[in-house]
Amino acid sequence: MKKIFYPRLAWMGIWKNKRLYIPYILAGMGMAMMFYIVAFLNTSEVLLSIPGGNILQEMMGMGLSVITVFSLLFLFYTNSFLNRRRKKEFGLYNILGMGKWNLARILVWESLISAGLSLAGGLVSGIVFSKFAELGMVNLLHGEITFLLTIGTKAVIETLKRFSVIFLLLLLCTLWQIHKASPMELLHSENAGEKPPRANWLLALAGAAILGTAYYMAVSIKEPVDAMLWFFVAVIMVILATYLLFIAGSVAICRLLQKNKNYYYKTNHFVSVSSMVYRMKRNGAGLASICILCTMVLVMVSGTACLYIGTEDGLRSRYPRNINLDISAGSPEFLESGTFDAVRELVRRTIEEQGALDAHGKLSDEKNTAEKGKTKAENILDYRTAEFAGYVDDGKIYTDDFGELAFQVRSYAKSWQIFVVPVEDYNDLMGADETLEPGEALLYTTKSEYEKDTVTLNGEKTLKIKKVVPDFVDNGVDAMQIIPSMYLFVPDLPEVISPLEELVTDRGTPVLGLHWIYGFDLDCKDEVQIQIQDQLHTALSQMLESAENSMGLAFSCEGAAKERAGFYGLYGGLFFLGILLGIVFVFAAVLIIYYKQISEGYEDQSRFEIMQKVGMTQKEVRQSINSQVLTVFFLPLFMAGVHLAFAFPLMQKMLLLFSLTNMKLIIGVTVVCFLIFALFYMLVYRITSRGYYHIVRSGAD
Amino acid sequence: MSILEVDGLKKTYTTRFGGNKVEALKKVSFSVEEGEYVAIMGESGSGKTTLLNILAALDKPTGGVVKLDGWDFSKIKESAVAAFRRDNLGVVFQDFNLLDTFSLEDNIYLPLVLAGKHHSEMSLRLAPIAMQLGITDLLKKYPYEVSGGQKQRAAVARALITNPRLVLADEPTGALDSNAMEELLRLFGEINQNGQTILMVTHSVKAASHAGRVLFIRDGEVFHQIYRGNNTNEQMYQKISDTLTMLTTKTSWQEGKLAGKAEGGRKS
Repeated sequence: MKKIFYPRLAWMGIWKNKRLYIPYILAGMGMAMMFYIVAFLNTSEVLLSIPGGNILQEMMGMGLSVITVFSLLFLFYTNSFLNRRRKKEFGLYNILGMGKWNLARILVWESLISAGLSLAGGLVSGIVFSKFAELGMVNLLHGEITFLLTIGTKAVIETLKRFSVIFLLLLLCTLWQIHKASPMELLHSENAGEKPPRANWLLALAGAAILGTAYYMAVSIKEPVDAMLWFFVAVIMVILATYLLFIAGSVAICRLLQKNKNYYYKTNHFVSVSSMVYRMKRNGAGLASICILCTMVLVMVSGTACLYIGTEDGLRSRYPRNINLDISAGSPEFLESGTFDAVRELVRRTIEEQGALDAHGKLSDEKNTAEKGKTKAENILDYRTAEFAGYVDDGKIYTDDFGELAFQVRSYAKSWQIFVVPVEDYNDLMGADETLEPGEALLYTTKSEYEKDTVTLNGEKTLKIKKVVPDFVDNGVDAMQIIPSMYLFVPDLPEVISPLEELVTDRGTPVLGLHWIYGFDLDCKDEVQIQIQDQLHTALSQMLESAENSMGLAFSCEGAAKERAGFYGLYGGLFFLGILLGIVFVFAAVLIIYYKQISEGYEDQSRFEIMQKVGMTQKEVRQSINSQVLTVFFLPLFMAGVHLAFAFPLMQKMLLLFSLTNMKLIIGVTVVCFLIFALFYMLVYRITSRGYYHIVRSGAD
Repeated sequence: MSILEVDGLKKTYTTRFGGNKVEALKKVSFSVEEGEYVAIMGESGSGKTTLLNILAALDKPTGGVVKLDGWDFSKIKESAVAAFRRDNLGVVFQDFNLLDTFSLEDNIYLPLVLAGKHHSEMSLRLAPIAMQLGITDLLKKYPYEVSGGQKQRAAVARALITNPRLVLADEPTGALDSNAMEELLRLFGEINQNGQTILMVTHSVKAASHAGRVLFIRDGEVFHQIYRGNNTNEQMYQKISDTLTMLTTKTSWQEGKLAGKAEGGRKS
């Protein structure tokens, strides 16, 4: 009998407070489930076997720590809600003669029960949904789908370990609070006489100023590199400002409205405004958290969705053609040598041979034989360039002191990758007909703009910029780097670069790199393209070795087909992680909303009873509740929308660094994400407000 | 002319699981004249709170009629009840029922705001009432900052500010200490002197002794009443005590009932 006394009390405690406990246990389940899923994917064999899967698993590893930290914070938050409402009950037990020790025993049992339910539920649903997650992920990676349900033992153990620790910490925290409090405090903790909140104008104005600055920064930043650097500063400022505005700003605005007597003393405003002051004081922090979570979800999901949907774009920028050859050398005579023709011929022959082979490298059937020779290099990219990195300041490009500056954050924004290209190559590629005098140049820039009309190379050669051209072919180097690129098209390449030829960096490598870029598209399957690429690689290395390689030729041979899986692994992984974390954050936001509604319901119950007694009609009471609940509920969503709108320019610039330039796509994806989210938010509102009305009404009847 | 007429009022509660029926009010009939100050006395469970709730239109009777200025309560639409209460009745509660999110001033304004009055009119109306009740200096304070007596005076101001036909008070001194109680009762007397009709429900002899007429309720029926006549408050107090003593003595209960009816009949 005595043995089951405490478990029984604990169980009754949970059952009687099910309106509070069920969401808490659900929260625990949800967190455990998400953790398990991510842990499972992190160790899944199926994923590992798919190309790109390893990159994805690394990302899941990062996701794990994010979820752990977030679970801890979030469960603490929900647990504090529980504690606040249950203190009265404990006070009563205490007065009825239960010692703190007995209370502790009840609490231990309660924690055991809730932790047990959370973990069991979380693991079961985790195991069920992990298969869906795995399928989703395999699909993202364009891999083969299997329908075998597996249980990740490692993941289960990891989940149990981490969440046991979290629940233990929660229990200790609760015990400590009970230990500190006196019975009378416990009894009255729920309704201590509350002072009317004062408007803290200083904090409110600070919030507005910080938010304004952050917004201004977001809108005014031009350089993608700056965007990257300042994004995190802006994020922190926005978070701070959101808290300040929701906590202090809202109260200040209500106070201002109260001062305007003609506005305040109106049936529609009177009750709403005066209760809003208290509501915002109590819920400001919660609402700000909801707002920030919403913004995070939106930015994360839309950003990663853009990346994923734009994977092909990114792939195309990084690998401008299906196959890309880059032959480089140290000495300028290479640029005029006959090597190019030999390589062109080699490529033609290789394609002819390989183009008709099947995936096993054999001349398999007639169809393929018939198609022999049909596969051709198309869309050919063929140009020479001299490239170097430089520090651009006031119309001058410095290369020598760049090494020291490279590690200074500030200098990053002034660093450029410079490509000098013969103007005849430009004309050939772009179908243009530009003629330049010596000392003149055409300019093209990516990611940023160059505003001077002359450019001086290393203080010696000054080029006059004849005009800025709108476009040039993509370049893999440019796509990989976060610094902007500057293309100078000149009539006399060897002449222009001569001052740079002898320069070396402080690591002893030449500053200048001379390249011949030869790329082409193929209209055959990825497998065949990979074969062609491999074959070319072998042939090229043989050729360059056998030739008198006096010029120190080096080459690279890259193909989009071979890298596609890796790209999908990276961007698909980011997207998937974005969705998973998005679910976790949304889950948290929903719970905060729910608890807020419930606790407000209890607080408003007596208030609305009085109002009815004093002469408010049912309808007026309902209207007033509605307007308050709607304001409180949709304010965070509205603010999240505004945050997202201002984050957009920054986001767009950062996506530029990932070679995503498709503005329409980015806007579309962001808007769709917001709409889906808003729809979901309204759904949550409908469900949670029912709980609220139930409580308020049960008091009024 | 009678301002309030109550005729054959009946209220039956059904217990939660059906079956048992509890008769809170059996058959209550009385009337209140314009400018009268009536106290209704009874012990706990005698049905006096039920009666007041019905008079304040917070509850509906099972049978019988309540008329205010000839308006039958049962004819008022459900949706209009709150507005009717707001416009015609001022209610003072035992536990004040002040909203803690409002200052005293805003609490007092609440019925006027709900009635859609302009702010300038509200402050014009409040000034004399606040003066009379001695709360002018407290108006900007919040309920948690003032004493029980002060809270109750604010609640009285809220009841008076709509110029109601009838002020209903439900055990208004129940939560007050004796000084605050004296003060409040004095104010009620003063308000009544100015022509305000008051109906108070109480079980305090002291409170009842300030009224012009005292009705006694027992077991859901009015069975006795005392008129002040020319008696002082002290004499009234004595009379009420005597009546209560007489009524609570088991043996005299039948006689008392008869005697009460006889007395009541003679005086009216």
